[in-house]
Amino acid sequence: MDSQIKGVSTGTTILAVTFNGGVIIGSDSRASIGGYYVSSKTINKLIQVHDRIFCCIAGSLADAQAVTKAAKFQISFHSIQMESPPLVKAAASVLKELCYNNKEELQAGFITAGWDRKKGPQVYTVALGGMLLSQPFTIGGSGSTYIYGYADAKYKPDMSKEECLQFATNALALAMGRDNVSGGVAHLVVITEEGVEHVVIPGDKLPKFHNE
Amino acid sequence: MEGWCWALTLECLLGKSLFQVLESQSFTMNIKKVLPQLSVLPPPIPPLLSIPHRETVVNRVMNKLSLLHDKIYCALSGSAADAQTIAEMVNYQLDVHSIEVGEDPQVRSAATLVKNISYKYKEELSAHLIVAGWDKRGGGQVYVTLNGLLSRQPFAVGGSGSSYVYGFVDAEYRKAMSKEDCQQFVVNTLSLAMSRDGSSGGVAYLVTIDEKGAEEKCILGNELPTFYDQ
Repeated sequence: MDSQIKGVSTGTTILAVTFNGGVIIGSDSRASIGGYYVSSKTINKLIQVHDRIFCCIAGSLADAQAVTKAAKFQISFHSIQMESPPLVKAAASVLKELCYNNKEELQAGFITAGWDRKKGPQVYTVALGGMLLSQPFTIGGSGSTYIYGYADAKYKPDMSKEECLQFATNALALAMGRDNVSGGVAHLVVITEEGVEHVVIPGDKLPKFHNE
Repeated sequence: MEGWCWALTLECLLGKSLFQVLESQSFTMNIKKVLPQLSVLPPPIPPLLSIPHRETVVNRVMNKLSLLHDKIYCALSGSAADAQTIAEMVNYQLDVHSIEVGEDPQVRSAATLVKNISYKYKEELSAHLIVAGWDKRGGGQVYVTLNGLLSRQPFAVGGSGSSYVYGFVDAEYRKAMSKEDCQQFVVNTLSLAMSRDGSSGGVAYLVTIDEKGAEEKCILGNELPTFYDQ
């Protein structure tokens, strides 16, 4: 799938998980060309579209950067018009409109996560064709197939921040261990009412499992 | 007819030292299988999104654990016809072999026979068998024979549903589990895979093999453990 994307792609693992009081959005850091050549070991796939709203990208890197740039502009314009910080749903809807209206040309999916005053921490998925879905947690990218079972088994609603960080780190480490186009370091961003905290876990500090 | 299934096979040591184990032969091994819904079209690559595929369920309750010998079973995946044929051929060859050597065959021998067929006809066949069993020389063992490779592993997963649970088994597998822990681990894994894979479902078949023999069990769909969104 990802290897059919021409050019640089983010064969990737991305996820976003809500916890009690906030949301954690995370990704790996590998970019590859056609699944054969690692073109970057340390790219940041977590894009800040507003103060408390981040999104992460899976699929063609060029498409993703173009769409997020347009979305970032539209969201900040919207927030000036409304004279208040944008809702996470609004940010996700902007991405959805762009994906849906350009569905023939684009090949990228997004996860939007953030915190707003109205509904607190939220996670939205915008899928390849432009479907918008709100979920307590979501995983995406080529590496996500390997952790569906793990995420289903281990996710609990209303986790604490530490439990959630552990869950997200483990999930990323497991996916990076099995997927050849995911790897590098783990980027995690913790978004709460108080602010935004960026955590980077280098490859050698990731949790190890039985076969490593 | 084509079909996919996946099987999870585990090897658990009962925590004894190697010397004691050889003496008391108390290895246990589990093979579990999930019945896939046999489909007419080749199975899709597990999709990132839930894109529906046109498939027909031909049989919801097919038993994909095939007996190769008293204490050696294999788990079938891939084309159902190919896999069943390989299992039957190896069953016959193992019977002949065990008469020739005058004792129960080794698990490694069974796996080698499967591997020979898989490798020789690799262009024509599309089936993956996981061979697992117990013998008095090596205790419980698991072998994968994908595409003609022969490799011994502590546990193995295969088939279309296996992609979804690689992360889970990597995280949860422990060496030297007890028999009950091992069975629970396998049932959990099967349940997670069945809930995500469109080609897997129905009932779960479980075979536990140790020095005393093989015990078959069938767990119905509504008795399987459920997780967060079920």
